[in-house]
Amino acid sequence: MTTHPYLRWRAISLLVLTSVAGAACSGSTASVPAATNAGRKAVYVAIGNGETAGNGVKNRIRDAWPQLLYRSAFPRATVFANFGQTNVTVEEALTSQLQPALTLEPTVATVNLTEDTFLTRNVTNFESRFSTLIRQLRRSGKTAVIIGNIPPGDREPGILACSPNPPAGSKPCQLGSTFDPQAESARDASFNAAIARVAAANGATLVDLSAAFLAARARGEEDAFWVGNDFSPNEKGHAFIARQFVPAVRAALKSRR
Amino acid sequence: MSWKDAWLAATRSLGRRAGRTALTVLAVALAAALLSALLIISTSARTRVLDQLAKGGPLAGIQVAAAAPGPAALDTDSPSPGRARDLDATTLRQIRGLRGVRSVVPIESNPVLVEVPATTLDPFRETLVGIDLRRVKTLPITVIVGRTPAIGSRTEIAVTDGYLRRLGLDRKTAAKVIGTEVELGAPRVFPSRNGRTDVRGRWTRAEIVGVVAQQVVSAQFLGSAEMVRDARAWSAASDPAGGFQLPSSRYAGVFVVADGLDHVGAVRARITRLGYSTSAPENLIETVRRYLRVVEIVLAGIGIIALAIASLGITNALLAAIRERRREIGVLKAIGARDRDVRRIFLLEAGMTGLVGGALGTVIGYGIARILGAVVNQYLVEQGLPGVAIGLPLPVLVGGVLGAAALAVIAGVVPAQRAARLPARQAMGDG
Repeated sequence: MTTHPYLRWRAISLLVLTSVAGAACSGSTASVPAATNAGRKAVYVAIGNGETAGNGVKNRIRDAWPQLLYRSAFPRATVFANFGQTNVTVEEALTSQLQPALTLEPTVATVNLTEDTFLTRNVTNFESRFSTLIRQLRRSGKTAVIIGNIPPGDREPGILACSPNPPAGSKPCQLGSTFDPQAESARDASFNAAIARVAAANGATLVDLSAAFLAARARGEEDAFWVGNDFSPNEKGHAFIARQFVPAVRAALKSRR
Repeated sequence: MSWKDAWLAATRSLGRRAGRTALTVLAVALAAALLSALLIISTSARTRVLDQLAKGGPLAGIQVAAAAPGPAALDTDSPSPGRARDLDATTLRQIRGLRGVRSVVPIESNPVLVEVPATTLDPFRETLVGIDLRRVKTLPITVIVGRTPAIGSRTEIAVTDGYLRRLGLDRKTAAKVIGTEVELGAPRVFPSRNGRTDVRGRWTRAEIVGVVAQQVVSAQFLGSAEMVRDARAWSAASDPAGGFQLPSSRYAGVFVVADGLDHVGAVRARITRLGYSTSAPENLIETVRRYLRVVEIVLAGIGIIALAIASLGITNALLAAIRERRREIGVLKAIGARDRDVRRIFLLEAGMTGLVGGALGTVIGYGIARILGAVVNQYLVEQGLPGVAIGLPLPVLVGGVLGAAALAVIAGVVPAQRAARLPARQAMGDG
């Protein structure tokens, strides 16, 4: 391959100019900059379900609530890994999420595992395995664990589609004809009670997402948090969840200082 | 007549024709100023360029790829590498031990997924390159805006033109990215449920502190070696079942700086014999050296022409002086001065004119070079580059003064000879 003479001249001229400019550095040594204050190093891991993984938003890396939390509540020097998975039970999370998370030796962890409510529906087993997960994640107190409970699902568009009088434009109910919203709410309450007991027993912080969503409902804000015809929060919903975790994360980081 | 008498006679003669002497000195001074200014500028440029090229600057560097040499390994500056080959600590030691090697800088890299939160850009895959930032000056990296990341920093990076293009920016608007933040996710494959695998990112946030032009490795992000090592440690532990294969070579490449430009070819050959593909701009640099020599010759030619014109001025002034001083020459000869005494007086006049003109011209030339240097510095500072220090090289100083004096003496030879051969009677009679 031959080089066009003009290009060659240009390359040579650039090289000469670069060399002269670069050589001129010899008289003025650039001072080595000091590292900026990026905050104390922290390691944040998110363990959880489909919402933790980013279900409901288009750009999971940008808008999933753990990513938003990482961006807004943690110092820049923080390392972060999101282990969220869709349709995961606590039993499965013990191997597929907890073990890889522990390799990072986290200093702060958020846990939002709520899909046993429809995958296993077994509160007793959930509480036992959830307690194991939180205890191991705590690493004898080295990790500040923040647990989110189950938000009320009865305003989710996918649930409303199964009500006797679904809103206009709802898609067909995907939960079958036997779906009972009241029984579902009661089950959520029993799972939330179990989550609260595990948090208290293991020194973890509880973020009451259920109460936060109900408060939003009272203010008339909740319906804007859900993706149409689905069971997942949208960008606004993810941002809302992230905001609920911020005070607990800040408190955890403060206590480490 | 003694040298002292001749010197006194020459000084008195110059003093009697102060106006003409001043003009002649000025002509010599201007010519010497032009020559010395051109020499100072070309010497500064040449010294600095060749310092870079020949004494271990980045341009005397050799890039070693984590690959075996290709078929045309040493025939071109940038040959195509052969099959992948690991570069590890042992290889580094071997390269360091080679004759003609001044320094060895390993280059590490890791694939990353990049999220730029403050933009509408979708996340994209890129490569993060890490180097020992204490040795950044020995690498072909030019800071366009800002600075390089702090040594050992895990929260600072520099970006290249490629990143600017993604954002629709160019070098003129590069400053806009300084202080912004990117999120870098190193991938790792984990075994998951039901025999499947999951890819998890190890995310870090980094502030962009500089925009650089770099020819180290094709990548848009440059950080510390420590930052890349952390990312690589995470990615390297991936489950092999996941299909994600990180290159097994610990180093993406090595940048080797030879002892001098003359050693680049030999060092390349030695590294090739070790079994690695190399590239270096040695042919291009050699061409640059030749062109620099041409520039020097042209500049020196201009200066010499100026001095030749000044010499003719000296000759002319002395010939005019002979015509005016025929009676004086006649008297000198009548009272016993020999031809060589008369010749000596005229040569001393020419020499003194050249000496004073040369000294004055060198000082003026140095001043011109400084003014030009200040203009160049202003431009360089505007471009975010450090300034040029203009010095007065000793050969130019000595050569400017003594050279002008010698040239003036040579220019005075013909007039002095003519004056010396002037018969006393003719000189007196004509007067």
